[in-house]
Amino acid sequence: MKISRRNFIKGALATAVSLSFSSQAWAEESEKRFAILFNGFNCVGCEICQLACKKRNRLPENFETILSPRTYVYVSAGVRKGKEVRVRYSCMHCGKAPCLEACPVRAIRRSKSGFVYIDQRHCIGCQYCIVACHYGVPKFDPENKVSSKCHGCFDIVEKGKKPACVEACPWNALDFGKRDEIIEKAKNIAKKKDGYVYGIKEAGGLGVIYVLPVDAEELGIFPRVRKEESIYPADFIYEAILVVLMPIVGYYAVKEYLVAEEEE
Amino acid sequence: MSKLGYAWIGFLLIVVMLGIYGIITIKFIGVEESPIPWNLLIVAYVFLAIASTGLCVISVAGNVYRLRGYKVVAERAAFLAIITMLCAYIPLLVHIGHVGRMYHFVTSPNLYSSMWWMGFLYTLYLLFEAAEFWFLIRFNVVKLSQEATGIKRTIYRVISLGSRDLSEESLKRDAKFARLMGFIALFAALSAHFTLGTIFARLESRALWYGSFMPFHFILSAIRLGIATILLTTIVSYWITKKEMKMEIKEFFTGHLRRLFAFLIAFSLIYYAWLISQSVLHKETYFFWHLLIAGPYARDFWLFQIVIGKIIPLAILLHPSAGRSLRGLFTASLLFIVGSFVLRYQWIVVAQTLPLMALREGLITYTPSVPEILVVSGTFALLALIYTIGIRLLPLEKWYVVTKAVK
Ligand code: SF4
Ligand code: SF4
Repeated sequence: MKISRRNFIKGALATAVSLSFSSQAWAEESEKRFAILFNGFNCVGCEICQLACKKRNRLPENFETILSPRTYVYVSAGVRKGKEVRVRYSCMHCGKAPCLEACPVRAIRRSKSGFVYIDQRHCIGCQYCIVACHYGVPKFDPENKVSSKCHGCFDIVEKGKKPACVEACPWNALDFGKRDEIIEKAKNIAKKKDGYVYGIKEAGGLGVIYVLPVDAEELGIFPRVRKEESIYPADFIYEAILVVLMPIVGYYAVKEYLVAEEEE
Repeated sequence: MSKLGYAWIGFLLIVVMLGIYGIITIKFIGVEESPIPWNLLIVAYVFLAIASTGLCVISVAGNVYRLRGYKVVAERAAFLAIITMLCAYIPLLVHIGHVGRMYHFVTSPNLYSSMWWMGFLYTLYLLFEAAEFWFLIRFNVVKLSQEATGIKRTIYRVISLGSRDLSEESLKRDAKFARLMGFIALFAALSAHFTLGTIFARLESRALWYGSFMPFHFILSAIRLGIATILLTTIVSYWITKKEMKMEIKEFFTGHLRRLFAFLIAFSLIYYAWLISQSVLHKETYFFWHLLIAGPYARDFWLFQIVIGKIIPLAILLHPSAGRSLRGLFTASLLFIVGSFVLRYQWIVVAQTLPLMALREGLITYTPSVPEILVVSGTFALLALIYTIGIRLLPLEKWYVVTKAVK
């Protein structure tokens, strides 16, 4: 098992029980995982994907350029390093999803295809997932008082169809398939067009793979998300203190308690 | 009760009423979407939970570990710990969208979620803290119920849960159980509080919160806030009941507790300096600290968090005469409490102002809505109201006298 700082924090506070649940937070490392490919070289920013998504999810069909309880996906445009950049924003379907770990009542689940979805009938509306997400994706729906976000059309994907946005894109900017194959495709496009691939390692490997003309993380288009295998040695000092200190403090606390008891 | 007393209670009742109006607005009439997920309501919850943990530590220090001085405030601290925690649940439950679905905490727990553990541990804490308090006051409540008449008698009977035992053995047994309950409550409180810190500290995406020191610092904040609360409330209740403060309490406050309080405030200043200097190494964290120390939040940061919340209280506590007067201690703790609330507010709000995924620049701005403010002030008013009634009704200090007499 790889040790990350986060696992360490948890190890210190949670019990063996909680660790046995840790597997649910990880996407099964298997061929079963699917992914969406976003090709930033092909995207023209027509927002047809947004429209298709709204049709499928019966959301009000006005365009928005921000994620909201009524918009699960949109494309944003900007200029970075003299290049025009278009980025598709929606849930990334992280392989190690903080939203899924955060939800106290397991309203967020991972489907067989690897996509992460919210069971809104189960959600209590605590909004922890909203705060926890690396990418600020889930949004609170004040009308229904639950959290909402893109679900990767996991229901139709399991029946062998493509997500609605992928199906709708007329410019071949979106693609869908087995995650391994999508990564290969992304790498090929990047090589040909001199672009950058994003999403292979971030947050346990994303369910959306990007090919963009610029390095998105470097330019702050995406927040910096720790790659799964990177270890920051300095972090361990704190956890080491914690792991050593807790039993010592606990020991003295109990000892003092018993001593005072005898004195009674 | 004096006229002023009635006016005070009337005022509190009005604020509580307004709070109820705020709850109705949020729950049933519907409000604007809050631009940040965790708003003023969560700030108030976290603030009160921190205070409650600190009060529990103080109570346990006196009751379980028999530390000198702390013993005289053990009952008061336990009582305050319980009511602050109960009141802390109010803004939390108002914030949660579907309170009716909260049984999912039991039916489909996510043991991997800090939020779940926090809920579980705080419930545990509340139960044991209540048990501790009950064993602490049972003897005196039984006594009071024998002395009192009418409605008061019934109230005491209910509080004592029908117990009438006034023997010396029962007193010893009470002490034993109170200690055991307090001991468990302490562990529940510390782990609950650590988990509350972890809720924030484990979020990689929120650089201001992230870090493994945060949960520890949460516990230190708790002790600080606990001290401030016990100083403030004890002094105030002596003022309003117009009694002379017992020498022991006064000595404890102006001696040990004052020094500890001053030390902890000084430590937090050092911790701040360390945090800020560390953040320079880390771009994302520095971004937030920059917002606080030189950005749009700088005025409130320096004025409330640092000057009012830390420097002035520290100066008062260290001042040879002001620090030894009750007036000085009162001012210092009041300012400190105000400063801590602003600290918690800024800490929670600022971390959420950065849109995480956007090509567009710009920060999210948030101002608390009116219903939110009403609910939070209503909660504080309710707390004050329960306390005001509590100090008149419950034996929050006699225990010490009685045990001494028995011994
Ligand atoms: S992008 Fe956010 S909402 Fe989507 S899976 Fe990752 S953490 Fe969850
Ligand atoms: S808002 Fe809903 S989905 Fe999100 S963490 Fe809370 S209960 Fe889970």
